[in-house]
Amino acid sequence: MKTFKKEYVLLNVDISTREEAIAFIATKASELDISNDRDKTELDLWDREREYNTAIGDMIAIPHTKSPSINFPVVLIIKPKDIIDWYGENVNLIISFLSPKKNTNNIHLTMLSKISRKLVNEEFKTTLSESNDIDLIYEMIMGALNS
Amino acid sequence: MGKKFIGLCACTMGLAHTFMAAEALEQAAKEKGYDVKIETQGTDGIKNKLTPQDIEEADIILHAVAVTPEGMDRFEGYEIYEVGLQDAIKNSKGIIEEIEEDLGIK
Repeated sequence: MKTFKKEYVLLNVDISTREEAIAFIATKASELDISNDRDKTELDLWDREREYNTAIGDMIAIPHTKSPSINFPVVLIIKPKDIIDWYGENVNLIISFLSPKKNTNNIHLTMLSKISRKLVNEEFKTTLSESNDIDLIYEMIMGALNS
Repeated sequence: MGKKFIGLCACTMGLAHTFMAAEALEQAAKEKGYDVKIETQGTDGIKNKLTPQDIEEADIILHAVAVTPEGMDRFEGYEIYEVGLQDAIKNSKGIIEEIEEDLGIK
């Protein structure tokens, strides 16, 4: 189990709506053995999304959930082929945090929190948004996780 | 002794907004010359917990929360400012300046 690896960077993804994005995250989480129940993951992501639009400005959305369907905490980085209409906001970078339901004082969750902290850093956001270089994206996220 | 800013951030999931708000407030307060300590009540538990001494010493106490945080009794009798997490993330500096004006802090 790893909180982040290169496989979790998904570039040039053919999705064009928030609905497709959430469905894609659930499917990928299932394929990558992050989720043990694809549909439950999708449902729980939607619960969060309805409560609070996860677009955070600067064309970034951070759909996330704490769900019993998730096996271990991870971050997925997704870049859609085209700009997504995220409930009225344009989005070209998706950073998705997936966490098990019960999990306190977990080192991996603290690592994930460091990425959230980086998301107020303009330079970090701009570089991540503009890059399509999988190695660079991987290094940036690993750097943030271990900061 | 310098001026001191303390904050507490908490949201329902405690995965993202809590930490974004904490970081935004920390940076803005540092920039304005404060000693800063921000407690986060996130999914990884309570981190950087504010002590009675922190609260006693603080010039500004700010809660950026979407839920009722744990340990509210610590703050009884103190003046607390409260903002939403989105506001804290997007306008941390503006919030601090408004509070400074309100409290007459230069």
